Amino acid sequence: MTDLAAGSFEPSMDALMREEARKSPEEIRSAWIVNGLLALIGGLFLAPLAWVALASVDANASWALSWPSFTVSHFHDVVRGDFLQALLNTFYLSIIATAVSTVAGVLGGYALSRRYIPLSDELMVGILFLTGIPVAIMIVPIFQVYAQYDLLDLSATGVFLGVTSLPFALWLIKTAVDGVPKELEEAALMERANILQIILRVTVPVALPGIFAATIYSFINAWGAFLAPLVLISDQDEITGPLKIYGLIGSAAVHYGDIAAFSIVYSVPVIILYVLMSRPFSGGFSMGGAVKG
Amino acid sequence: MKSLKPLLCSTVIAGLAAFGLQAGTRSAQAADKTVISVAYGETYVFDTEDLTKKWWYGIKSQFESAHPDVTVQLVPIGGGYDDIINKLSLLYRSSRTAPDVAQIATPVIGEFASSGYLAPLDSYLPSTSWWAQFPKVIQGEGVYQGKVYAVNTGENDSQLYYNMDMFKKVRLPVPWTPHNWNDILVAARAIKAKLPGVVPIWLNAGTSSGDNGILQGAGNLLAGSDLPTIFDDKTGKWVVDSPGLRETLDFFHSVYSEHMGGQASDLFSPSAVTIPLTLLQQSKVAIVFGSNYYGGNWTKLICSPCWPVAAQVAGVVPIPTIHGQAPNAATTVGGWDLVVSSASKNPKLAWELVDLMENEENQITAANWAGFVPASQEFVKAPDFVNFAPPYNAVSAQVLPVGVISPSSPDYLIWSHGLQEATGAFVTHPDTTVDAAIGIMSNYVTNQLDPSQVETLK
Amino acid sequence: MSADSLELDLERRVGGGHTSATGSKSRWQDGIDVAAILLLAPAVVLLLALFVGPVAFAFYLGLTNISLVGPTALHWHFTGLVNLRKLMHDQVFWESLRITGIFLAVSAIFGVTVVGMVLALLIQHAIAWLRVAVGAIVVVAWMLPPITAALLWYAFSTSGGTLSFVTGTHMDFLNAFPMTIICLANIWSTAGFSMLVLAAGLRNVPSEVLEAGRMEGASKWTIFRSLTLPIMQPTIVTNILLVTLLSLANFSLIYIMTAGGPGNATNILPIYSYQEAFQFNKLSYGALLGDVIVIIATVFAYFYVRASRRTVLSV
Repeated sequence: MTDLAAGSFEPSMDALMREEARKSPEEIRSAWIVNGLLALIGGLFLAPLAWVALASVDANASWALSWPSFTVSHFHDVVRGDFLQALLNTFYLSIIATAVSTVAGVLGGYALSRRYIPLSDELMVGILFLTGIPVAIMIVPIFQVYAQYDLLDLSATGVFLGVTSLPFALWLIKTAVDGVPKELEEAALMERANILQIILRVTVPVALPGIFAATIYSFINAWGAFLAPLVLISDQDEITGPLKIYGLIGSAAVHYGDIAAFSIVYSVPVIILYVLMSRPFSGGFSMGGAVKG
Repeated sequence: MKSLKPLLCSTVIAGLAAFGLQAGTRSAQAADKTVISVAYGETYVFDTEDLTKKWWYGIKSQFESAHPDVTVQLVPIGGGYDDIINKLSLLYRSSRTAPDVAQIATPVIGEFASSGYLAPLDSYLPSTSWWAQFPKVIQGEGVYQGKVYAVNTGENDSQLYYNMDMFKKVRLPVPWTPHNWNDILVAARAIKAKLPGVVPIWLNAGTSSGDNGILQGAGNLLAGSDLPTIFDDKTGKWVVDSPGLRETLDFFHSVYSEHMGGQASDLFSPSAVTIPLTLLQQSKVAIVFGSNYYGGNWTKLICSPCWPVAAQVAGVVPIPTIHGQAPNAATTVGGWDLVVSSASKNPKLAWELVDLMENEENQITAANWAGFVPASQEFVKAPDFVNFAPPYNAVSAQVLPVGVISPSSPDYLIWSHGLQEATGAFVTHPDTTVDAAIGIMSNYVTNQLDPSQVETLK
Repeated sequence: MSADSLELDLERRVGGGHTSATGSKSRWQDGIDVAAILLLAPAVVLLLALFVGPVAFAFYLGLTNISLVGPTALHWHFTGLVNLRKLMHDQVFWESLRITGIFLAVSAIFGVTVVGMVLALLIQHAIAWLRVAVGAIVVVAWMLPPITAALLWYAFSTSGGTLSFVTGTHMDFLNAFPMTIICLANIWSTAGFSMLVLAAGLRNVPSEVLEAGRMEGASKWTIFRSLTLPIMQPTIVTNILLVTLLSLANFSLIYIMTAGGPGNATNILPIYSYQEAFQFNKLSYGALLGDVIVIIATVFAYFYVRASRRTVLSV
């Protein structure tokens, strides 16, 4: 069941041994090409990151790429009060969004996969295309509703963001649940388990790669959200990371170094997430069990 | 899944901690006090965030000491100009979120008033000490359908800055007193001929600064042209072709076709309105169509950038009219105003807050810290203002009365965007003709509005 | 493995059916499936209330005269086809539609997919540390918040930035080639996702099939073209759909980089819609433009359904 393998980039041991066994000049040459090309692409992807690394420690930072006059003042600036608050707010927002989308996604994804729902194929495509709808066209009606019910705060915005990532999460989880062998559920049924127990004890653990993919997607979606918090959050104590950065760019005097430093600090949690999530899957984060075409 | 459990646990704990922290920072409002809310731009209006906080917290404590049973709730709005206006537009939609007092930009007063969001202020004005000191033009900026809905809290106007050292080097007169537009072009050509490597003229162009670009650039030329009309009150149409517009665009044509203007990357940068400050300080530009806040920005307090010797190097002079006709100074005028919400539950208290913000001390600190010119003809003479950034503030004050205010209608921004595109064309294609540029502007505005709403003036 | 069993195997993978383990599929003839309703309820309620509802309302708003502020801010009414007529004659709209098409075709459909595929292939065969390093870089680029990515690319492509530094000119690439730069930025920030999806699809290609091809002496390129690609077709098609939708929704990145400029050079539909609604105050027209975006997404979804209905086999 290769499609259920906790996906990773590591080829199997046999494949490795096979590769080791055949090392003809042609093989060596193609290995050089492959690795060289990959390194080149990697370098190209790394290039834009150069600025933010240099500017964050540059006392005379500007948009230009220049060798910095080293300083830690920018990092010192951005771990103080309101920056830290913005980070915490973003964290809180993302947790709410992820929770909403994961819970609704697991329950709904299971239902879509295992239960008879009329027109479920069409429904799935419909759900999928909801992914393409820009937040911008929903934002004013949402604002009106939230204003009406006094919901213009961080928590309600988190719920909204969770809902915007729900379509894709549903699709990912449903596809993952599709790959869970029926026999496991049948066994649980024999032991008189109810539906919730089946979902939690049987389905979730096996479909975990797909569920994780959905969770990570929702978290990233909420962590980077810009337009929704911009419109829905008015309380300056509640603003999130992207709004903070945006405020820094828009001000009368642009503090490039602070922007770069805070961008790094703000992006670090997402990178840590990547590292953490890839560990349970022996070395490579992937959409392994989730994608089935 | 052994590594899962600790991960999940730590996530939940972290989330709860974050919640606790963010909930805890919401200061508990005393339930029995009246609350007056005031909305303003956090990062855009004042020169630095620290000064924003200093001024507004100052207002808050001044008002709360005078009214012990009132709490002032500050509602800062982050982002740039557009974001402030957008956020205000959204906040006013519901009486639950509409702020009692707000600091809004001059050009949008008409729209907000026509939405029914604002309360008329006429009844309060006679008993103030400061209203009568405002020039008529500025008193008029808050008028909609005969009533006053907004009072000015600080203006921006434009003037020419020039590098006196460079002028001396190419034998141009210092102090410089251009009498007409041709004098400006002559000076620029002299710089271009004898000082390569220096940008002769900085003149804002393109769409990246929004309407601010017009206010600091083309708007001042149009104001000093033979026919400055933007909106024809008689016909109710927007002017997309006129002698005034053609003269203005012809000036752009001269500057950019002769390659006397700034670099495209600078002109099209989102921070284009602050770049000339640095270019002047680094002696990279000779003449700048600039704004009154330059002087303040160079001081040690604001320091963006710091230029302690600014007054010795950068001269300042009013922008002339095209032929030197009266009043021989031209400038756009626009700034920020204070308004009271029509849905306010405490309109009298709200007005008292406005009145407090309009007193001399607060107006002068606002002017110095935000780069404004105070509207009051009396306050502009105050030593604290004049000496904050000599000699610049004096000249800014001098041209204020001749200022021209942009039409206060939402469609103005569309007209402005059309002109921005036309000016931008000269930068990307320096051989653009005036006819072509007029065509760009006319097509854009006609397309966005409607052929029945535009006209050509002869 | 015979062709027949392979085909069956693939159909099972592509189909993704909904076979219930908890007894037989309860059809509606057997009565309403309460469990299904309860399980779906949270998702459905949330989606209807906070997603479908606002979108439907936005569709309605597109046919009104509501504005962000002004006399018709609160007191607006239905105006029928007025906005539609304006849309038909709006040159900026047609231009915006055109460059949106270019953006999606070049950057999303072609760019992201090709780059993702190349990366997925290379990663499969590269040495361990390079695989992890480049994989991490590309995925991190995807995970970065759009505002950070926008800032990076702005600094990268503006005059004096990294790109101009490296090429030795002092050109402002962003303003000289705006569409190119935003296409590149979109590829940079979406390729990671595409790589993950396509890598998973690659892993699902049975190694026996590839072995068989190699045994018969087929070249690497032939194996790829005639075996791998066809088998991966469903994944690729899904990838294209998702990447297109993601790019269409990549508003913040482009808004912060160019805000649609210079002029209207990068004024793709999402940006134009925002501009009309929030800068020019014409909320109804902005909503109508947003509706066009929804229709475009629907068209793509339709083509996806048609494309994925074809089962695929050429062994």
